[in-house]
Amino acid sequence: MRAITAAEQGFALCEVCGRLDKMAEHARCPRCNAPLHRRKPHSLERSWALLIAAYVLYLPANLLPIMETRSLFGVQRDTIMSGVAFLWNSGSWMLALIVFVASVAVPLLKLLSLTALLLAVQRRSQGEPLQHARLYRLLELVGRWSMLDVYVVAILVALVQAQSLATMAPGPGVLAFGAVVVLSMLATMAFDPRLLWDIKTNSKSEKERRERERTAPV
Amino acid sequence: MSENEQPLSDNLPSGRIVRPRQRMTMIWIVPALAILVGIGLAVQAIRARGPEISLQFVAAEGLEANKTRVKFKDVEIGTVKSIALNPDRKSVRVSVQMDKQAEGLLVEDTRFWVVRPRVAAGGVSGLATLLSGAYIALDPGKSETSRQEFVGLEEPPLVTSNTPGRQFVLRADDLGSLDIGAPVYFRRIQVGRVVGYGMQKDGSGVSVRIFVDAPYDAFVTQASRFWHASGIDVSLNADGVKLDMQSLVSLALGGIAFSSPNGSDEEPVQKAEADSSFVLHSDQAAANRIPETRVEKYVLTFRESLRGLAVGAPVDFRGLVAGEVSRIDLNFEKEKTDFTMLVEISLYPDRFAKRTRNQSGDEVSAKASRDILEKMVGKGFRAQLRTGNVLSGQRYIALDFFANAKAGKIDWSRRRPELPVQPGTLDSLQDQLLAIVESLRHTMQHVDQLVVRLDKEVAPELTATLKDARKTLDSAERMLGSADKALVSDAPLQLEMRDTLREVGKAATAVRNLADLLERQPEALLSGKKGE
Repeated sequence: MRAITAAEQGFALCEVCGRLDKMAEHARCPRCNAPLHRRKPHSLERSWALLIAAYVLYLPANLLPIMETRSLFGVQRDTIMSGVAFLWNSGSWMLALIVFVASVAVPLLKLLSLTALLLAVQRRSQGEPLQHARLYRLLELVGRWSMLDVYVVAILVALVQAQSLATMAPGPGVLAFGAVVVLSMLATMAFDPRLLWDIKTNSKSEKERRERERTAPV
Repeated sequence: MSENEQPLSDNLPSGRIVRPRQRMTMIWIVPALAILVGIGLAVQAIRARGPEISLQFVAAEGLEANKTRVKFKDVEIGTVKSIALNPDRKSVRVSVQMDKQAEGLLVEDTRFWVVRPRVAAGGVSGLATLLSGAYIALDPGKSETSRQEFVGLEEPPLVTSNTPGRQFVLRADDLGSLDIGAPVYFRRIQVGRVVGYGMQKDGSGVSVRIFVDAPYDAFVTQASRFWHASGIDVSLNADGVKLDMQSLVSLALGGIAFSSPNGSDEEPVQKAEADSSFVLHSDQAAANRIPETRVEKYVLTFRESLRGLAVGAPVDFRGLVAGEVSRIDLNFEKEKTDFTMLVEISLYPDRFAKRTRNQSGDEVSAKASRDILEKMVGKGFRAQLRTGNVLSGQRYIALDFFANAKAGKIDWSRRRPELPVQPGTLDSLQDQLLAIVESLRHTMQHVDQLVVRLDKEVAPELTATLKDARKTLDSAERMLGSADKALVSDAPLQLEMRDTLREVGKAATAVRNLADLLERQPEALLSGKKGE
């Protein structure tokens, strides 16, 4: 059995105030004047662009030092992985694991899963949209936690300023890392999960949907 | 979209129409920017990467991969990438990723060493690395050919190529207590250090390489004299005990001192060239001795003991050192069956000749100097053995004019001309003393004889006299006793008798005293009564 969708009926939901309106080209919500879209405009394109940017910056984020510690013992520049390795070697395996998961694994998984979702939509793969939807929800949930590193650096830099004894300064890696996290969040936001369902629902009326998409304000 | 309209939505107002905007491609600026930044960073990283070099050390003490830095003038110019054992297991190979800016420093004669805390007798270095960990330092070479493989030094070099100063070479008989790093002093200020030493090829001595820092290297002149200033220098000679000491560091480590005599106006001293060679003397006195160009040897023949005279003892002319004893020998004279002591002295005639030359203006020929010496001997110029230091008994040879000297001549016929000698002052004094003692003994014998005669001849007579006197007195007493009976006590005769007797008694006392005196001092008869 097939459910009736708003899009099929020519309606669109205002993304800002939630009002259901009849869809027209370049329409704006009569209540809050927000532009009306049947789907998020250029969702795939935006997602892809931001995702690629995030991928590009993921390299310097992990290769460049995120923190520079100057102390009596000399200057030490730490990248994320060197911090993890240090924690691991000094016996704090739990801590090392947490940092690794929060700072290395999660951002990467986020990027990879978003890539998977985008590919699924683009290829109109007939897989499991339910699983894809779960993945998307997980993505949104986890995204806000990956800024942990940036917070730690910010707090340490502010706290540890004992002049000649020890000073800490953020390294260029922190900028890149922050950019990766922000870009991946934006990419997730730009992605319209409804596209996942469109594949399933529109698979029968493919031709029709394509035509509609062509005419609709994409 | 009118064909999709449903009755459900009939009453809904349709959205307003807005003109479309073309900004969909704007989003691609973000990844483009990211790629640009990424490429920029990558290019920067690649461009900042210099060559990768490998260093060899005996051990990797204090070195850590990815942590230990290479520093030059305290600027980081590289990082240790890996540390591995060499296949022969005798050394370690340290791979270092150098920065781009260090490229020019990596030439053939560049030296690398590990800076770590070191405590040596000469001082403490690298204390800062106690906290920060060891690092690799380098001293850039001057060569043009670049190089990627180096053998690291085990000890930091004492002199880096950019240290201003110059090196000199000292030749010495032995190394003494010197070691690498031993200080070099000029006027007791440390101006340099020993940077190396080695045996001379033929084994005849050692050569010591020193480095004198600028600006002190200007004080090293061609006339500079170097000597061992190691530790305490105690010398016991005719001048007495002398104790000389440089700094405490040199006490522990040994050291070298030098002095640069001022040149005269006509012969100003020239600054020494770098790497020029000097003689390293054993002590300051030896170093400051004027090098003798002409040495004349003479032989002195002594009949007295040479105890206290040693080879090297000074030959003194009125307080000036005119030479030194070079040999002491024993000579057996067959015809006299007696030993004589032969002392060979080295005289430095220049010390006299300089003065004569200065007066007359030209060099004194050998013949003329012989004549002069002959004349001097004629006037009583003699050598004499003298005691320089009563405490230690050190002796030296003195040259002087003796007015009362026995006539003498220089025997030029022998290989070593012989200078006449004058018996030593102490020796003649001893002789005189002996003579005095001898005559004293003689006198004492005479006195003895006299006393014996007195004892034998005078004393018995005296005893007889005294006996007689006593007899007389006894009889007188008896007579008086009988007279006493006959006479009253106050009769004038008795009174007079009493007076007479008193006188006689006094006389008897006097005689007894004399006898006593003679018994004690028989010589009083001859020499009279000694004062009480």
